[in-house]
Amino acid sequence: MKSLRNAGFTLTEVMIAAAIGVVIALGTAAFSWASARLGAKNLAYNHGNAAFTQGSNRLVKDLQSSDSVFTLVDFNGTTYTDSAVSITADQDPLTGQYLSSRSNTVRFWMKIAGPFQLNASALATDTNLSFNFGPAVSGALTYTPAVNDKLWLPLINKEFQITAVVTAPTASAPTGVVTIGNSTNSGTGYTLSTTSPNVTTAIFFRQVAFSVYNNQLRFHPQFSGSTQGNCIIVSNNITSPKPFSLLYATSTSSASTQTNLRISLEAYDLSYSNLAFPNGAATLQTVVPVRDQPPFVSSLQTPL
Amino acid sequence: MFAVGIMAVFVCGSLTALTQMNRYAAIARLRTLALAFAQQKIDLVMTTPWNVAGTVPTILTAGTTTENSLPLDNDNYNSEAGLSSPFTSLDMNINATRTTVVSNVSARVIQAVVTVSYTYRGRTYTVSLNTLRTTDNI
Repeated sequence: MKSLRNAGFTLTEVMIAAAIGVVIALGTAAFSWASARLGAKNLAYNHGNAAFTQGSNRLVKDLQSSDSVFTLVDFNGTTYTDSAVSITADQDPLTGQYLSSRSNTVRFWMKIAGPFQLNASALATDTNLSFNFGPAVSGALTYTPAVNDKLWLPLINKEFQITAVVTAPTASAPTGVVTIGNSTNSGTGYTLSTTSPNVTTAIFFRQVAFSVYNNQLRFHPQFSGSTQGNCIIVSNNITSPKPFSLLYATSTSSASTQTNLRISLEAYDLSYSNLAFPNGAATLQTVVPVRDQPPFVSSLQTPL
Repeated sequence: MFAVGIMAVFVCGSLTALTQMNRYAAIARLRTLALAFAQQKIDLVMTTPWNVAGTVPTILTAGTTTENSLPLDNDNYNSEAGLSSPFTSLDMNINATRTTVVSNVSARVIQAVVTVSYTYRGRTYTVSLNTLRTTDNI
């Protein structure tokens, strides 16, 4: 029969065991916290990196392809208004040029389709032009003209805004008719003949934009009229309120050429609300020029 | 004691691995930013107008240009009113040096090599891009 004296622990033993337990618990907790923190920091680094890498790739690709100069726009959550751009004393470290006031949106024009052949002669005063928008690719046309797009006629080096689509082309009937607008709505000013061997083509442009709002970098594929606000989210976790600016050649320049867009894109992983990570934010700085200089079309949004 | 030793090795190994992962992530991020710096210079080389009948633009003239103290991962101007976020102060202050070497391939062709170098945690990293550029006309 066992002695009852051996059935328990002395107070000293219990205290020592408890102290060891506390030490192990604290060590485990500290290790868990440090591991979780380091793991989260790693995710934050990578998410921030992904945010501006995606943004940078898309921005550089599209901005370089711009066929007009850049125009800064302010978006207040409801309306888009062209910025009243002015020069500042801030000097861009990459170019040595001077920054304009900043903005959260930039708009520009991109070639969207063409050249397409004019397939009906037009008088100098005709405002309706007919084009063959074919051939169809995989059963669909590559481009359907839309109101507010621009067309540029290389033959006469003039651009016009599409004010109406009279006949929308389809894959089976690729001829479309568009109404062009200019300041006097008086046609191209030239007789355009399609009688052989004459040939005239047009290239079509659409206004697009990038904006930063609600911590998102957004691309607006048709930045005009009622579709102005439609956008694709390029990347999340963008924390710069106004990343876009234009460059002025010198501190006394009266105007910017608007051919270089300066971007300062700050990214931070917003999934973690507490205990901000040191070095967790990253700022991408770059300047993207228009590759085709001088650009094909103007930045104006109204008929010329 | 043996068990404690194993645990200590596990803990140290885990924390070291996680710290190293963070270092790699930071290196990857800096590399992306350095590439953007190099790309910007390449863009400048590619877009500067160059008329064969005129003088060669400065940026396309043979020689070496070095730009020091370029802020690789931060933009001091973002601390200005209206341009900052709650996270603006959390970026890393690392400066880069960008060297552009332009050499003549022929009378109408140049080669530009842009190298961006920076130091992070005692090690120097380098990113380099190069391009050929011809005149706008012939």
